[in-house]
Amino acid sequence: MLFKLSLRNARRTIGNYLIYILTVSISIAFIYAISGLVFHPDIQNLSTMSSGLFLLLLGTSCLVVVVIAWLVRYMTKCILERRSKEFGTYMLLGIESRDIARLYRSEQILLGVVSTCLGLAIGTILLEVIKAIVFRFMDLGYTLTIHFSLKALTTTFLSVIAIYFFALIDSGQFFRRQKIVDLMSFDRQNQLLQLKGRRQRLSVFIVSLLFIIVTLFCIEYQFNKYPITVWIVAVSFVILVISIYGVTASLPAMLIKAFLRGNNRYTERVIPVRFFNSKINEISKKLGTLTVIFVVAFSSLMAAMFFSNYYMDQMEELNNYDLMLRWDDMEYVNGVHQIIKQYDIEANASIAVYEDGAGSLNDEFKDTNVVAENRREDTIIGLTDYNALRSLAGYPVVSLPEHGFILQTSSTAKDQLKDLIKKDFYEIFGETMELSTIHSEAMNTVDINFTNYYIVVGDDVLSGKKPVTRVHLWKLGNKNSKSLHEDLLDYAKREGKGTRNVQYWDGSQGIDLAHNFSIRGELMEEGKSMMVVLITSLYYIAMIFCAILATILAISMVGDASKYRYRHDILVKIGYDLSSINNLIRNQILYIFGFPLILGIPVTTSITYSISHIFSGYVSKGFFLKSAGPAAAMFFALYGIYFIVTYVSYKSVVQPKLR
Amino acid sequence: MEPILKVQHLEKYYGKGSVITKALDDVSFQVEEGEFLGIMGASGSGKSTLLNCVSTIDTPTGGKIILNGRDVTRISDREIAKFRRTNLGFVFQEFNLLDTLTVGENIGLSLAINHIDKDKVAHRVRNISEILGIGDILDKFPYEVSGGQRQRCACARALINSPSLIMADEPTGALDSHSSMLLLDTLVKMNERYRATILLVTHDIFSASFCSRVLFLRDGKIFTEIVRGNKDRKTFYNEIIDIMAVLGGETNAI
Amino acid sequence: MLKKYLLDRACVLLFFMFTNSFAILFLKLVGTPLNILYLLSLIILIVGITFLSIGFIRYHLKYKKLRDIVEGLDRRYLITEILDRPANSEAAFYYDLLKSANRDMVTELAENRAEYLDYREFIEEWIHEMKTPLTTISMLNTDDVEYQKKLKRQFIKLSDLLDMSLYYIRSNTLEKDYQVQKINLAGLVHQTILKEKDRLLVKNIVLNVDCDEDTFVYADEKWIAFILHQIMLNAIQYVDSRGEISISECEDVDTVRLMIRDNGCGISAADLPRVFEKGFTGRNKKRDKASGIGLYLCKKSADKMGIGLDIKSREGEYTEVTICFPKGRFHREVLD
Repeated sequence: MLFKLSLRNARRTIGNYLIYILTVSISIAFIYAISGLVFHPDIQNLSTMSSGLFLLLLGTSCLVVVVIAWLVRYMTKCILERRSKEFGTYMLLGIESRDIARLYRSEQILLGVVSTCLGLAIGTILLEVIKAIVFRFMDLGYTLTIHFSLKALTTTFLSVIAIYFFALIDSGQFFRRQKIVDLMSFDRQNQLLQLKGRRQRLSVFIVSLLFIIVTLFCIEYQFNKYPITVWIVAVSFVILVISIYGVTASLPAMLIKAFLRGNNRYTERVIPVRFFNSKINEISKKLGTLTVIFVVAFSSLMAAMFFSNYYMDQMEELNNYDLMLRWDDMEYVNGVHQIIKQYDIEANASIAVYEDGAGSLNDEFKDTNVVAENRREDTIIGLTDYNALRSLAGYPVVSLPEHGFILQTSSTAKDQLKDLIKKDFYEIFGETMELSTIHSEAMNTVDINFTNYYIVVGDDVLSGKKPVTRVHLWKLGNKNSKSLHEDLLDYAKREGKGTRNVQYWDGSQGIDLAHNFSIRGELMEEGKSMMVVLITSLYYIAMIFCAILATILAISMVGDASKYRYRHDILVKIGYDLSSINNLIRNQILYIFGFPLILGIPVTTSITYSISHIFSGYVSKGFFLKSAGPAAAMFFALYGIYFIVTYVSYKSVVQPKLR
Repeated sequence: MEPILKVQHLEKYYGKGSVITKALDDVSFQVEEGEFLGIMGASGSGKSTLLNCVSTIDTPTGGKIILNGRDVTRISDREIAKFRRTNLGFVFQEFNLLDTLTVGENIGLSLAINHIDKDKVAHRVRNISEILGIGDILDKFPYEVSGGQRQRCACARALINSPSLIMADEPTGALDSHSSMLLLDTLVKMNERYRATILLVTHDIFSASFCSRVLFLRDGKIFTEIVRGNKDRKTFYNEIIDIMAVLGGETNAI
Repeated sequence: MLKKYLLDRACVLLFFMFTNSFAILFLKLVGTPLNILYLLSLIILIVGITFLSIGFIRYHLKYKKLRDIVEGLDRRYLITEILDRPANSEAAFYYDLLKSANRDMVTELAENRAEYLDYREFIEEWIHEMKTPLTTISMLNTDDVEYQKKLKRQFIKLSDLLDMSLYYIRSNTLEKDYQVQKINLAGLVHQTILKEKDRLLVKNIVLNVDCDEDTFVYADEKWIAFILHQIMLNAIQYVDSRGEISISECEDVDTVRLMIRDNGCGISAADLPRVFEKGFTGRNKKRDKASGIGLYLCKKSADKMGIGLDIKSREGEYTEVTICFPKGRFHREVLD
């Protein structure tokens, strides 16, 4: 009997909480898709380093599980409160509270099963989509094969069990604690919340706001200087989160007071503002959490954008050689050359690198992130070598006037460098030379000397000087970086030179090529898996957090629609027309959906702006805005869908009863 | 003079599934300007349905309701709200005030949604609340004041836009006897001093005895009507009791 | 059903298919790998089918609910009072239209009914008014006994006709002034015979009455008297001089039957099924004067009261009318 009842109730609940069910399903779909990706044979077959990185995604899933558990917990409580009258009736009929708790639990579990099935169905498709995208970036061949991985399924089931365990662990308590009379009138208790201690509220608001501003400045300062003091940043974030709670608890009262000053209360505006007021009172404790969720979601989205933009910028820099070797012993280099020959050499160049210890240009850049902290020298190469490098990269050769020099930098650091250079003349090897031009073509600036710039001077200036090192570059026809790597490793082992010991993520030891070999294909792949994992997990967090934020807002609004329908009835009775009612509903939802943004947007903007400093020097100007635009667009697209769904379902609850 | 409200052959059916019940059966009556008309009947006699139809909240299945010379059943959906807020005032039993708005905001609401200047609204709210003796609770929320004050606030809201017809649905239903008395006095005052036309729907004989004329409904039909004339309230009260006895309705006199 | 549903959406579906195939073709031409295209088509297909089937299920349920409601409804013009206003704007438009049309119709119906009741009230009043001068006329004494007799006979006829019109008018609202009483059948039969004793005497009719003094039935006395009277009148009319009318009563488990039998001209087999029809007079010459209202009225009122009325006849031999009173449980309990 009870099972039948719970089945029927669950079916009815699905209708009422469709948004919630869908969000949980989509979250489960994500969990499944992500674990499906991690355990995919093609990903597992990647080089050990890369496939290990993908395990990070599973770690992200843990975070996601926690947040979804919180959502489910919130929702079960919400449903419990909404249906308290029904449970009170059961108690009145003499059903024991233990049985009701069991009934309720089985109902929720049934909903969980439905969400899981739906989630797995969506997840199977989602996995293919994510696979298609990730594989494309990883240069793996994508084939449409829908296959079920037992590991992924197990992970998903474990996650679901964890979610529902956390959500339902103490639901029995609720029934044991409540009296029947409380259950029967549960829905009225919320209305009687009162505003208390207005003065206290104002002081909380001011103090919290001050704290927020201070911590934001602190974070901004920390990210601007180098290196970052980690503990200060961590403390700042903690204080920031607490202050957000403080502000969100006190802000609504201020806003309402401001809106209804003087005779403004006698305008139409009073209705949405007062409705907002009561709503805020009801969810005041959650507002802080919602704002924090927003900050996390939006920051993750921004960070994902940062990383992808950064990656694209970096890829451009790594464009024009396939193997680089930094080595002075020409005999060894020739041996390498012999091996590389099998890979169809298209072009090669050898560059002598000089250093000027006086570093007059370096003086301009020190204490910025253009140069490494301990580096005080300027790197200099000759014009001939530079032109060889240029033709290798496919750029036209250049010439230099007498006593002129070229500053070669990356496109991303160019603007910053331009700002830092104040003079026209600099001392190079004791000679005063004029800055002729700044070049920012992709010329492996960083690879040549681990710094963002080098200087090109006429060959005559360098004559008689001893190069610090030599850099050899090859451009190949055959880009099989894996076998190139193996061949070079074999050679290095044979010669007993240029190897290093490495420890892999799974604990095993091995021998690999020395750091002064860099194989572009391999570099790109390593960077790529790193980036793909980072970006995917950031998007993953952003999507789930955004969906959860919107779901909580949507559900609490739609639940209100039936609870407070009488308000709309009264308004209609006193002559409020239908289009005004629609406007009112829209405004109500807009206010509630907008509230987390009031504080969230400035805080997120400030934090992400600070974070973007990490990338300065490696990225081009307008990087922040270039990332913020698409991030905002994505966020609001998702948020907007929830907004529209909420609006439509709210209207469909309120309107049929109105004429 | 034209009556302010003419109800002709009003019929209303209610349906659920495929069961249809008749709530109003050929009801016809008229209300003159300045009249205080009571409509009595046991629960289920169709009196609330009648009120809902007259107040344009519900649409009748058939018949005409002519208010101020206009057939309200034929007013388009677009105009109905405007018609309602300019011609009708409401005093309902429960939930008639928005619990999230203060008393003053509730009173001014029907003017505010008519986009009347806020200073003018404030002025009128103060005026009318002084008259009804609730001037000092304008800034309180409905749940902070007594039931009687709440109902007077509802009266003030109904009166503020000087409607042609004020409709009261069981206004004393949730009040104790003292508050009921005060409220009914208020209604009589509204009727006598401001010539407000009032339609009072009730099943309470005490409330009905304040009216100048009482219609009795049974099974959706008008059973009979009695006019107070020059009789005092006590006599009228007894007359109503007599008719209620015939009607077989509850006689829960206070 | 599915076909109808799909046809209604043909335009959108075609557009959907066209844009999708165009997009896929375009992607193919710009060099998207085939596998990606398969995935894309799969997603489009799944999403499309999901939407369509959810839509169809909702459509089907709505359709079924509507049909069930309409089929269970007595007065289908009240359909708008049962349905919620649809959300779809086109459907809502029709709903509003239907509602306002029905409102006008119901209003008109109520007005017509009011007018009709008014008219009926007038006629009833008028018939009652008529009776007074008629009685006065019948009381007028003349010395001419024969004339007096003729006058009396015509008066009775007129009075009967007036009664019949009164009953005719009332028969439409019989359920309103129908009062169930305990009736002694024998008493009622005797009353009727007494009323018509003049005519019985004139025609020298032999009357056999076989009624149990203790038989009671539950019905409206006025109406049963009327029915019995009408049947007697018919019997007297069609029986020959010195003919025979027998009234007998018999009781079953659940019915009490009263049979009025005459050995008059009878009714032809062809006419028999139609005798209860309104205005039916038959081909019998004797029935030329008949109005065809009497039996019709009897049948109609008997039906409304739940009383059986049957007629059996053989031409030239006999006619037998049976009035059948149901006893019911209530009846039996009272009797026991």
